[in-house]
Amino acid sequence: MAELEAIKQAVEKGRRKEVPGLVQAALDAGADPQEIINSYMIPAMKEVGARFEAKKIFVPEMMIAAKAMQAGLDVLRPVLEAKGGSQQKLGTVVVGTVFGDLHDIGKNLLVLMLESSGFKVINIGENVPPEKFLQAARDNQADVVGMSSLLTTGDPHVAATIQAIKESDLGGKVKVICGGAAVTEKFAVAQCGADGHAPDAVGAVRVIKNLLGLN
Amino acid sequence: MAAEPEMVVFEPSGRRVPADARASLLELARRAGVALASTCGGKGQCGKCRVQVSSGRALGPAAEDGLHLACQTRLDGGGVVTVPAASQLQQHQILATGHQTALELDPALRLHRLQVPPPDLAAVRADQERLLAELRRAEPEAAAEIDFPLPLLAALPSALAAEEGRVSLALSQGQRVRGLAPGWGSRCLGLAVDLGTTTVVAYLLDLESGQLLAVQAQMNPQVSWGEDVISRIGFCQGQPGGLALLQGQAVAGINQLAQACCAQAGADPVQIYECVLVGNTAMHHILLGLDPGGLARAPYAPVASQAQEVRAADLGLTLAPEASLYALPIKAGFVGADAVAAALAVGAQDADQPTLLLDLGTNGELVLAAPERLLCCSTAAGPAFEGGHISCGMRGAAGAVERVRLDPATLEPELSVIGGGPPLGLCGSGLVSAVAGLLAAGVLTPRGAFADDRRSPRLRQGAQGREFLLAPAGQAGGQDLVLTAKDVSELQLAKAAIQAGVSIMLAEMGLERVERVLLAGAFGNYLQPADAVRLGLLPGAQEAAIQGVGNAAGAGALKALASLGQRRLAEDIAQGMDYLELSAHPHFQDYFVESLSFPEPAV
Repeated sequence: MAELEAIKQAVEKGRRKEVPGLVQAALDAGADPQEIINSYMIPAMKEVGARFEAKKIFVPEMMIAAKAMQAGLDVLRPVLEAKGGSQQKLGTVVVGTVFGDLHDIGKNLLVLMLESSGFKVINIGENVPPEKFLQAARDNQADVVGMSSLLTTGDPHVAATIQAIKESDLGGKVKVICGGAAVTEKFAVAQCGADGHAPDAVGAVRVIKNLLGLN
Repeated sequence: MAAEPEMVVFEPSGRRVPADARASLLELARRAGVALASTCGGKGQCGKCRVQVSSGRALGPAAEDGLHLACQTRLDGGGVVTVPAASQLQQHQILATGHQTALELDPALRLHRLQVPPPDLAAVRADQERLLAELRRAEPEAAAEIDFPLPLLAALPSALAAEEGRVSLALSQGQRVRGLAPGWGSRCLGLAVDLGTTTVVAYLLDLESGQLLAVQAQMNPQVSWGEDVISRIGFCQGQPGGLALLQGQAVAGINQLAQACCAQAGADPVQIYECVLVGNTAMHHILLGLDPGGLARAPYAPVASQAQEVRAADLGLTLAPEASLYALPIKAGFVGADAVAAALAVGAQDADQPTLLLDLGTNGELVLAAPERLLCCSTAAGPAFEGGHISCGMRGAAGAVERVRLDPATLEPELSVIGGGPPLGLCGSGLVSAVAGLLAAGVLTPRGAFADDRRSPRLRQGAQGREFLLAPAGQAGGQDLVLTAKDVSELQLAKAAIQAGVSIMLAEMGLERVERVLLAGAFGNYLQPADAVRLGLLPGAQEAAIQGVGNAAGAGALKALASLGQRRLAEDIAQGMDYLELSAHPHFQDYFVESLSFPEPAV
């Protein structure tokens, strides 16, 4: 179906204004909403992620593409719900920026990328204290907690957050990953005991999938 | 009884000072707080300070029209001097990097030159009493109760003894003695300070003439403890004594600038009786010793937002011992006294059409002024506008490319370099103009990518993706000067933060577009309006409507230093302005992503 290929193209190119109309046209032509997501939109974002990792595109273009995909998802969501049963989710991820840090661009990009990859994401914002990470993970029965830290002054908060989760009733059940300019793999994993580390949003999606055995 | 000293009266203001045959009329006018024009500084060359000696005996020649040059004329005893309108300087023009502001003079204190008679055996009066009696003669509106700090009282006998009873007394608002100096040669100076995260600027103002005597700037010494506001706040919170350390650094920086300004003006910091401070909320808090910790966590509440007035020496400032420091009010955690001062400087409260005042930095402060309403917000642009996170980025210092002109056909760039030497890096305005030029030439797409179909020897693959060669190593500082696709993306993020803030403010006010855009700060001054339009930074703004206004925060601090009325106005602005918290805005992310692209080229 020509519409489906056009959806993939429009998401890849980040043509947000075109995507909803194309999705509607595909639905009108009888396309299956879940298939639109799984076979066209998610592969489009995979391609965008690959271009990002190859340094062919950068954060802005990836955000634009992710927003274009979300515009399409907004059209599909009510259709999926009307068909009974919401979208299938790969898992639930709680995402936030650690205490003392107000940076949100990288963290928000991760939110978009995870959603675009089929995860349910709980975005708990910036400047999040450890207990709030823990609470959100418990309330939402999260599979993964992801934390972002862009300031070197955030290291103690990264350590405290990981420790709070590991020592709680969720320890061993919830995977914890860290990312952001200030956090190294050595610090996060070897020193603090995180389950994973990624330098950027695209890498984080791959790490999370690996941790959940989805790759 | 000692004879009362003769007075020299200046008309039409009626201001008066004790006669002094040793001082020129220009000097006497200065002592009286009469603003006389003089551009040569009293050398008898400019002819601006012409006055009429209406009564009294003039020492010095008159010109053919009967007028005297005040700087070349003295008066033997008392008399009346009339200042023609042409020689009056009521509204002093100060030039704060390109932006002219009329300075209204109504300072917090005045210096009174007094001739205090010696004690009289027939009717013994205390030194303080005789001094205050003279003061009341010179200043009939002085308060009944005058507050006289004990340390100044202690210095009174020696001051009276030094020059036969001639003293200079600084009195603030008619009721508090701020300073005392022997003789009449002392000056009444004020210091306006713009304490920026990166740069501190100080302006030395003569509070009697309204003349700007010196401007000095230096790096904020706190930079060694973190480049940005958040890391400084982190230091204050994380280290015992961290706040005191950073406060001490800021104070030391201001003291150095006061010294440098005084050296430039041939003055002494002990003649500075009044200091006015502006700065972002974090810098303001740290200088005043207030914990800035609340600014690092939502909802970013400051400790105090109202104007503060403190004894400067209590903060460690080495000015006149009893000098006062007035800190302008702040609006919010990230809309500081600097934004309030900038709004004051440009007269935002009187805007007759939608006017946007924009201070672009790591944290952009935006004020949208319309008749009947002032709205402000802050938006985190990141360091790209200051050359940060850019592969060949640098601050706007010597060697920085401040402007790039690109031939759209040949793609040959012409670089304007600060200081004229070889290009060492790109500062914010250079980055903006390079990207604007590449967009106009079609080398960059509206998405910020290098177009696949353009071929040029300057377009190549680098370690960080595709890049454009601005200058080869041989012509630059030893390494290729390039603009990478990643650099373009950093600029997109910074631009989108500003553009989204502007768009949301316009929507909030129900406006389609702004009619006037005032760009404050160093970056705003160098940013070419055409480039800002090309980037889509200011939605809907016409190129002709955009202008740089220089260091508006500093200009506002000067206004508040020169005039109490302007301080009240600043307080009204801070009080009446509405604040918009962008991080709590439900659609900020949508506006932000929408703003990442550059405008499509005009057809």
